[in-house]
Amino acid sequence: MKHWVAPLQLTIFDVRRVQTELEEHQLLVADCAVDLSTIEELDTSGAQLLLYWIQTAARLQKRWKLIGHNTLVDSTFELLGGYPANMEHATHV
Amino acid sequence: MSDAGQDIFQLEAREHLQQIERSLLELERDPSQRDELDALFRSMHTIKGSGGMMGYQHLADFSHHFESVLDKARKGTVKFTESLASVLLLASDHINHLLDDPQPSADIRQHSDKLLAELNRLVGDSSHSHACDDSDTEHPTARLWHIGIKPSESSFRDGFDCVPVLRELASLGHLSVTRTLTAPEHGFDAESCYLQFVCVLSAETTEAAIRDAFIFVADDWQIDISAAAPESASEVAAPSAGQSELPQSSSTRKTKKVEDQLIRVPSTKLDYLMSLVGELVIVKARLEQLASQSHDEHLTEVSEELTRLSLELRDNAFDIRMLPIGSIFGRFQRLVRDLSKSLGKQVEFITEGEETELDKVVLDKLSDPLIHLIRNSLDHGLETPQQRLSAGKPEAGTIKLKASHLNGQILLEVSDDGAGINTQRVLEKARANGLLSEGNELTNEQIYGLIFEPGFSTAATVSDVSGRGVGMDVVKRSIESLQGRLSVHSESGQGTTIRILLPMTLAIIEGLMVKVSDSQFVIPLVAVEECIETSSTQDSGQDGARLVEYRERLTPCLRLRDTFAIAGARPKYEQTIVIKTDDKPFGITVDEVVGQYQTVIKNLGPLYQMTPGVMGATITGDGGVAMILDVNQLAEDARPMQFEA
Repeated sequence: MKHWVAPLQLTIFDVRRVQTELEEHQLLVADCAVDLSTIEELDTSGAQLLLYWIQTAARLQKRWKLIGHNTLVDSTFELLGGYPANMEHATHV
Repeated sequence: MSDAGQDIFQLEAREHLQQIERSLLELERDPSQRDELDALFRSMHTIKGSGGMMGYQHLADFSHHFESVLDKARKGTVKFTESLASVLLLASDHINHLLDDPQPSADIRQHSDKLLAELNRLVGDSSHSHACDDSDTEHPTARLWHIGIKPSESSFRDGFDCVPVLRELASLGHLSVTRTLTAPEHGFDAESCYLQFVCVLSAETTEAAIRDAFIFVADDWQIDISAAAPESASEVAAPSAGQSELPQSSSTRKTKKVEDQLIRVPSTKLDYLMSLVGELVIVKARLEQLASQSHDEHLTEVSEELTRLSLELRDNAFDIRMLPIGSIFGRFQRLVRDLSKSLGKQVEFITEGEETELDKVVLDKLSDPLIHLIRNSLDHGLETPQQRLSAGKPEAGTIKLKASHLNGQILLEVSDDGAGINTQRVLEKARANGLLSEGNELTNEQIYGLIFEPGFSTAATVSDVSGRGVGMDVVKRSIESLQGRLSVHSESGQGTTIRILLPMTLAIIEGLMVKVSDSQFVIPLVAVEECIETSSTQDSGQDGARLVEYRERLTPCLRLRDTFAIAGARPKYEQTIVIKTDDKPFGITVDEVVGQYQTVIKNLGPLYQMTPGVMGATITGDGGVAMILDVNQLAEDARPMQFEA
C-alpha cells in the first residue's frame, strides 16, 4: 500500500499544490493511505480536498483511506459534519 | 512581522477607518440604520483582529472596547446617541494615530485610557437610562433552529472559512451538522467551495444572535434560518446527498456579487506605465511622420495599426488613473460636522456627483483647496441660526458640493445659502489694505476677485477656522496649478457659489501648437478664447508687452518672440492667441498657429523647472521639443508692466 503523508499545513494556500500531488497518486495506485497525523493547520478548503479525494476514490473503486488522525483534524471534521462514511477509520499507520 | 505586511495592514485599516467615519456620521443622523451599524461593527472587528495579528496589541485592545460598545448598540442595550457618536469619532481618530506605531508612547496610551473612560461613562449611563423598548427586543427561547448554509463558491479565495462560523454557532448550544459536497467529477478546483451545510441547533437563543455568526459573510452566503416548532423537533431530517440548492427565504440577504476582481497597485507603478505610454505615443508620432515621407504602403499600414493600438493603450492607461471624486468627498462630511459644532452653526452638507472621475494626480491636489472653500463657506458664508431666523431663512444652512462634467472638463461647485459676499465690505477692506485706490469703479466679478488677493480678509475676528486671509489666494494658486479656472457668483442674502473648472487629467493636454521662428510652443486649449491676425508693425514695449485691439477694446498682449528672446525676423502678419485668465482677455502673439495638438506632458528637468511662463514640455512628432506655456503666469508677470506702460 502506498503511504502518503499529508503536509503540515493544508489550507487555502496549499490546496492547489496538494491537489496536484494527490492526483498523481490517484493515477498510479489502487491502494493508498493518507496520513493526517502530521497536519498542524487545516481549514475548510483542506478538509474539502480530503473529502473530494475520498469521494473520487469511491467513484473509481479504489482502496484509499485516511489514517493517523489528530485532535485538530478530528475537531475540524466534527464541525464540518463528520468524516466521510466511506472512509476507513484507522488510528495507526 | 514584515514591513510590507504592516504597510498593507495600515493601508487597509485606514480604509476601514474611513468606512467607520462614514457609518458613524450616518448613524448620528439616523441611529436606526441597522446596516450601517453592522458595517461599522465588521470594520472595527477586522481592525481589531488584523491589528492583533500584526503586532499592534495596544490598538487591538483599544479596538476591542470600541467593538464591545458597538456590539451593545447592535443588541439594543446601548442607545446610539450624538454624544456616543462624538466619542466614537474621536476614538476612530485615535486608532488612526495608533496605526503609526505598534508600540505607542506613554502619552498616547494615556489618551487611550482617557477615551475609554469617556466611552465607558457614556455606555454606562445610556445602558441604564435608554433601555430598549421591550417590544423591539427578541427574548431568547429554548428551541430547535434549522440553519441552511450555502457558502459562495469564492468563499475560500475571499478569505472566508466555514469552520469559525460553525464554531461560533456551536458556541450557542448543541449543534448537529450535515454536510453535502457537490464537487464536479472533472475540473474540481481546490480553491472553490462546493460544500453546503444543514445544521440543527438546539439553543436558548435568538435569530439575531444566530445571524451574528454570519456577520462577515452575510452578503455572499445563502443563509436560511428558521425556528422548528417544538413538537416537530423529532422530525428533523438530514438533507439528501444530492441536495444542492437551499430554499430561498425572504429573510435571506440577497447575494451581492462583486463581479470585478480588484488588485492593489502602487501609484508609482501607474506613473511609470503612463511615462512609458507617453514615450510610445511620441515614437508613434515619429513613425507616422517617417511613413508619410517614405510613401511605403507596408510601412504606412504598420504605422496606422500602431497608431490605433497605442491610442487605445493610452486611453486605457489614463482610465486606470481615474478615480471617483467621491473618494475625497467623504472626509468633508466629518470636517463640516466638526466645524459646524465649533462655530455653533447648523449645516446640512449635500454632495452630488460623487461618481465623477478625475485623474488621481488632480484629485490628490484638490483636497486642500476644497477644504479651504468649505471652511470659508461655513465661517464667512453661513449666518448663525439667530441671524438666519431673523432673515426669514431656515435655521440650518446648506452647503453643497457638486461635481459634474462640462465640455470634457470637470466642474466643481461649492455653494452655500448664506448671506452672500458683501461687496461694500470687500471694497472697504481692499482699499484699507492698499489693494485698490479710491475712485476705482469695479464690476461685481472684479470685486469678488479681490478676495483671492494675498493677505485679503474681511472677517471681523480671526477664528481658528478661517479669516487669516491666507486661504483664498492659496486656493486660487492651487487650482491654477492644476490648469483649472475659478469663478465666483454671489447674491446678497441668497448665498455664494464658487465654480472650479478642471481638466480631467494632467498627464495629457489638449493644446494649440504655435510657432515662433523654429521654436514650437503649446498653449493649453482650455485657456484659448480666439485667434486673431495682427499686424507685426507695432513694436512691443518692455519685455514684449503691448496692446492689441480685440473686440473694440485694447487688450494687453505679449509677443512670445520678445519674451523668450527668439532670434529672426517677424512675419508681416502675426497671430495673436487671445486667452482668458481671471476673466480678463490677454493676448500671446506668435508667428504661426500650427493647429490643435494632444500630447503627453513631460516634466522639465531641475535646471529648467524655474523657467517663468513654462509649465512643462512635450516631444513632437519629428522628435523636436515644444514648451508648454503657463499662460496664467505669463499674464500675471506681464500685466503690471503693461499697466505701468
